[in-house]
Amino acid sequence: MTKNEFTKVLKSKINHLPKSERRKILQYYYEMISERMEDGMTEAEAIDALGNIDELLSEYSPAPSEPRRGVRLRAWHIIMLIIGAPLWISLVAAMLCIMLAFYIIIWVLVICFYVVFAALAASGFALTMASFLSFFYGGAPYFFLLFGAGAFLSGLAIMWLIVCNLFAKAMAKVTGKSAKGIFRFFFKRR
Amino acid sequence: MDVQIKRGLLEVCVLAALCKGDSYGYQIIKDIEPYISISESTLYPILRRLEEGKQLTVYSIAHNGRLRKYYQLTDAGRFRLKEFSTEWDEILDVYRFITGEVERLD
Repeated sequence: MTKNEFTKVLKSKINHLPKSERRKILQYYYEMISERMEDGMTEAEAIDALGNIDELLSEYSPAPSEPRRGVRLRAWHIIMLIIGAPLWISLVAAMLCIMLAFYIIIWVLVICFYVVFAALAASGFALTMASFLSFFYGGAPYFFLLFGAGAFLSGLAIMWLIVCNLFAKAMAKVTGKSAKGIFRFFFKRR
Repeated sequence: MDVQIKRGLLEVCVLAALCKGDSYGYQIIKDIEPYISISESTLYPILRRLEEGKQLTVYSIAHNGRLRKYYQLTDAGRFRLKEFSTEWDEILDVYRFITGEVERLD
């Protein structure tokens, strides 16, 4: 038997044990195979020398007979689902509403950030334009005052846009991750 | 050998193999094998039981690019060994009684 074949057989036999125990057993056998091979045995000889896996398993409670247990559990689950429907449907609906509200709040906040950007950019642009007009009507001092103010607001708008983008990215990450988590909770539990 | 007797003896054998110092799985097997048949599959549950009973502790050391688990005797393990050697006198008494009765059978 090769190590891969042995691993396959072993895994199928210890399938019913807890994950941590399965890992320990696999590590133990791998260590022993390595030890024997370092001692001069071939892989097949080392695996032959390990003894009967069933002897190791005699320590644990036997694997439960799967099909019967599965059918019973399923019937029990269906009864519980029907009886508990008024309770769990409203609970799930409430949870979904809360999640939805959470998402709306986050994205409204993001929109607010961009609205502030739009206001800054628009006023910066308007002041710059006005400064050109004022050059003809009020002279150089007005032009410099308005142009300076317009340039300042435009600069502020650009800086604010960077902040907006960072914030939106962070929020997208948070909402994306939680959405993935919720999806997994409902669809990929098994 | 009777399974129950062997099981009890193997536990004490593993503890005895750790008396002269910490050891690892394969070395324990090599130390015990001349006296009582043992394989990796029988050793694992014994080590697990002794560890759960706090008669030995486990630590890992890197060896040849992998981890090798070492087992160390605890005070509880040493106590168990001493207890066994005193119990042995009682076991011998039982043995003498049994063989005496068996002789009468013949």
